[in-house]
Amino acid sequence: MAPLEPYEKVYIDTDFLDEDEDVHGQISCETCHGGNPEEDQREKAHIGMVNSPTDPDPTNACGKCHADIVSKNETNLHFSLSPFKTKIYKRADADPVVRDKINTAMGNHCMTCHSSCGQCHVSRPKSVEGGLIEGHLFQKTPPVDTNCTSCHGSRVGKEYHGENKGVKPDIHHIKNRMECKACHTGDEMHGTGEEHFDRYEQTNRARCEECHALASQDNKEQEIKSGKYREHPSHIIHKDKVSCQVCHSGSYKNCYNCHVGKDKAGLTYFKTDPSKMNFKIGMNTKPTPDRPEKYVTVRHIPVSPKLFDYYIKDALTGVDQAPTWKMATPHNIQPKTPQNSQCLACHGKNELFLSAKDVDSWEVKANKAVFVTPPPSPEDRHDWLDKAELHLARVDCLTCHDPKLAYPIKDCSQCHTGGSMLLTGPAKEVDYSIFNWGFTNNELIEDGKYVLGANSIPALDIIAILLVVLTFAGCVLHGFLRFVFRRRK
Amino acid sequence: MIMRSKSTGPGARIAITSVIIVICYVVSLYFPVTVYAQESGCVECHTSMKKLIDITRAIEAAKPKVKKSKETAGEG
Repeated sequence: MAPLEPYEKVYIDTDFLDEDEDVHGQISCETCHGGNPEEDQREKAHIGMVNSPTDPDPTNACGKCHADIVSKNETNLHFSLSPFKTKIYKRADADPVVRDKINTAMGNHCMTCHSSCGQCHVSRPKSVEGGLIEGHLFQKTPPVDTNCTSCHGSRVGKEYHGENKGVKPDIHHIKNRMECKACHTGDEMHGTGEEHFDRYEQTNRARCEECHALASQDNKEQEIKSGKYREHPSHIIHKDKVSCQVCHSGSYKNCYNCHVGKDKAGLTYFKTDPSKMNFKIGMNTKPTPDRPEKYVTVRHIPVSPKLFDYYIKDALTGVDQAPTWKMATPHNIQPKTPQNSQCLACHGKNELFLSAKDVDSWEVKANKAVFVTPPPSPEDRHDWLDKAELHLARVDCLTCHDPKLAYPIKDCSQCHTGGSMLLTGPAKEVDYSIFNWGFTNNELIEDGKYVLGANSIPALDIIAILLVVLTFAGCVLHGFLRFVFRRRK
Repeated sequence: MIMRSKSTGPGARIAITSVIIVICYVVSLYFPVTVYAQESGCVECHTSMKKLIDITRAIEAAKPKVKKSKETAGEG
């Protein structure tokens, strides 16, 4: 995003002064910004002027009318960035001297991205050099390009807009041009008014299910049309076990090894190793009623033991006290992804699941709770089954693992019989007519799936029965005729 | 003998006037005179692109440039 020209940063559109366009234009400038509008000289007029009147305390500027929102400011994550601190503190030495140095470092680097009322609704954030958006006209919803992705650009912004090479944009962006506000409401942006250790603890966050709820019969047709319909066996099977992103997100960016400092000129800098595109499933270490899933997508965060070494050596003595792979909600959602192409694209693909092999030695303890213990391979889990490999290769998993059943089918005779469930499912209409010279399980045979005991050609069946009946009838007739003709002699 | 009421004396008039002034002052605090943004002296400059271009250029030229460290590497 190109920076604004200096004049653009302070230019006020005359529309702002029109009551019909923006009610905020009816408030005198100095009410919020201070200064002295009576002065003719620029320098004197600007004495005591406050550039950003909502940062850090918006009470005077916004509180009179928006008291409810302002009251939540201190705990608003956009303003406080508190999880950054709480998570660093969890890893840091508790010594007050060390904490003090960490606070300085975080103030110089990590916390500079914070926002305020004005930096979302009136101007660009300070971290991108500020400047009024739309000539001071207040934006009820902050613009995506100038505001949201100013801070959420490297990961979420690039994922959503498809700027990562080889990864498609998010379906919500391609299909409906949905902007951030479509899912992330103002209520969520302003927080709950409570302190949270982790941002995912906030209960009014965006949730896929708000739009993609399991369809009812009443709105089924409409939901199918709108693409929201999600009555799929996989959804029933994985509900509350696997987060939506596990099946529906593509590869996403992971960051590594950040360290911060100041150069010879005293200018702050940060250095990170090159980001890596990856996709990993890990354990949800803190399931909540809102997010009960056991398996979630996890993203590597750039924390490193030497993060603050410029300010104080070895400050993060407890770097292994919090995971470096944390729950993530990548913003590159697709209906079809490699991992949801078939069941075995995930089940048995251990490389998708986070394990000790994926981390450096110092991270092993930190991520212990996130690692997924590899389950037995599908072949091992089905070792009770005769010709397990053949079944895994040829039989649709959902045939036996039907979500409508309390338990998966383990009875061979359910399939290997004349009335095989493979032939009599609700979607199948088996043609048993005398004129059917094909196999009743023709569909399966055409797919190369020959099911022992479940094969028949109705026409042959009828002919065989006829032959038996005719043979029997012939015998009876023969006996009868011999009896009749012997008596006449 | 004509009796003059105390309340009409000069002292009382001053007292009454003072009370009225105080009441008016207190009431005025609750009903401040609204000064709209368009009446503010600020808008004369801040709505004029031409003026702003000239002024901000002069300010930018005089201001030390905000430098960014060349040591920064990677994505933030």
